[in-house]
Amino acid sequence: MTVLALRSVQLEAELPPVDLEVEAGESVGLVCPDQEFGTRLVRVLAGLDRPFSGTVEVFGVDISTLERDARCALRTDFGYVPAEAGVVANLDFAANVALPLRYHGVRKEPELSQRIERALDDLGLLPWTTVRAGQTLPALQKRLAYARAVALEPRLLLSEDPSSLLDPQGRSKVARLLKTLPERGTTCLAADDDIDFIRMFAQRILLFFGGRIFYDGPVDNMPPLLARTLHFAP
Amino acid sequence: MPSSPLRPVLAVGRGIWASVLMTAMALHGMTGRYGVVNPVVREHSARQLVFSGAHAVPLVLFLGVLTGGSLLTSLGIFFPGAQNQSAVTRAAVHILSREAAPIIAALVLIVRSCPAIVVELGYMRTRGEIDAMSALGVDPVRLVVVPRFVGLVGGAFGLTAMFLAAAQAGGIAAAVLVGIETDPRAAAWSFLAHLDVTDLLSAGIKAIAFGLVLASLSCRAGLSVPRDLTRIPPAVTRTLVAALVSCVLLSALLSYVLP
Repeated sequence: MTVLALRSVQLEAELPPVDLEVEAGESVGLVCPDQEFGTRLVRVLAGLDRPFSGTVEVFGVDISTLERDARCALRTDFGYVPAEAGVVANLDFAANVALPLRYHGVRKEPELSQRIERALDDLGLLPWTTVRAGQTLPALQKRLAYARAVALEPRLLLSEDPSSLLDPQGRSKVARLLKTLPERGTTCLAADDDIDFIRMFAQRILLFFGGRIFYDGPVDNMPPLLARTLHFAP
Repeated sequence: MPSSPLRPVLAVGRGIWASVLMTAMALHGMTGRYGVVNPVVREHSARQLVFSGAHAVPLVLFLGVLTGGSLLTSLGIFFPGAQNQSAVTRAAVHILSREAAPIIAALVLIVRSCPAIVVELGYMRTRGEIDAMSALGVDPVRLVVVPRFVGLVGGAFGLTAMFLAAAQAGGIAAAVLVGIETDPRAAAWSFLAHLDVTDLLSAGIKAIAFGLVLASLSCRAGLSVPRDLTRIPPAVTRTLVAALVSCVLLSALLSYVLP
């Protein structure tokens, strides 16, 4: 089943169109030496930005055609982690994770508490449960953003620049989480300029250069020289 | 390209249109299962109501007592004598309920709540909180804008009522002190007798209108800050000036229109 499809999507007029399909259960890493391109692509996939042309289908639906409530309902199947974490600074860690859950109707105990605890535990954040997010370092806030996203048990997780802000401990925890998500039924797509980080969890890698897909395939088949060349190209 | 004298006029027109759109979005956002019936939206609305309304009550009571007292004292000094007693009380009640109460409640909100809202929303937008909420299916209009509308409109209405009550109390005390009335109970009855339904209606309509204007200006300013922290302080300044001018203009307009 196709979870995500880009049909002739152009981010800018001067960029070539991109066609891409992501199947359910895949873990896809978009490696973009141009960090802004990767971030923009994920924002378009999440329906936060509109492409210059083309359509984006999520679960077979063109998200741009939906009404506000229908878009909200569809996004209950989404997890999204922005590059800058985007957690609510004046709420504590548990309340941050609870916010989208309660908004979407997960309000009964003990289910709510269990989902919050499991999500925080996955990212090693249980000691910070009652700490306000704004009082912690960006590295912890980024991990919290992942906890908040996976607590929704989404069918699709989109992540902008996942390695940014993270400390080494956070990198390994996030990579481990992203690697295990397909086993839990969550399709995962992340865009980053750090190919070594993408390799830690992705089964399928897409190498972008100048807005064009240069390589699309399994991690093991990827020619290392190509990856290195693209990664360090100006 | 518009000529330079037209630019400010166009900018004001665009601002008014954007505020009308923001108000319409907020009112629409109150409906549906993700609207005010959603417990999370209700909680956030209650929190805003406490911040904008309840926390400002002591200040408004203080200002109300002082304004009512000083107005009655001035009127009593300018129009001494028992023959002017009724006219003085009527004028005081009229000025306090129709003009002073709504505009001073709005000023308190402009000083306390509007900068906080612009800074908070601007900060949330800069940190990517708004986008993250949106992508997680949490509608920012419902979770961020609707509670602030509820807080400011409810706050404006409640604070206007509080101000009016405190101003009456201050007025009664002043009336007794300057000798317009000798009996505090008689002074209270005199005030109540001169308080017309149209006075209360006028104060209520003005309070709601001010609340809507302040909420739309603050939310629009906060949410339209570019992703740059240095742009937040100018947005606060612009919003406070726009809020002040809008409320004074609206007050004058409504005073002319309302019976």
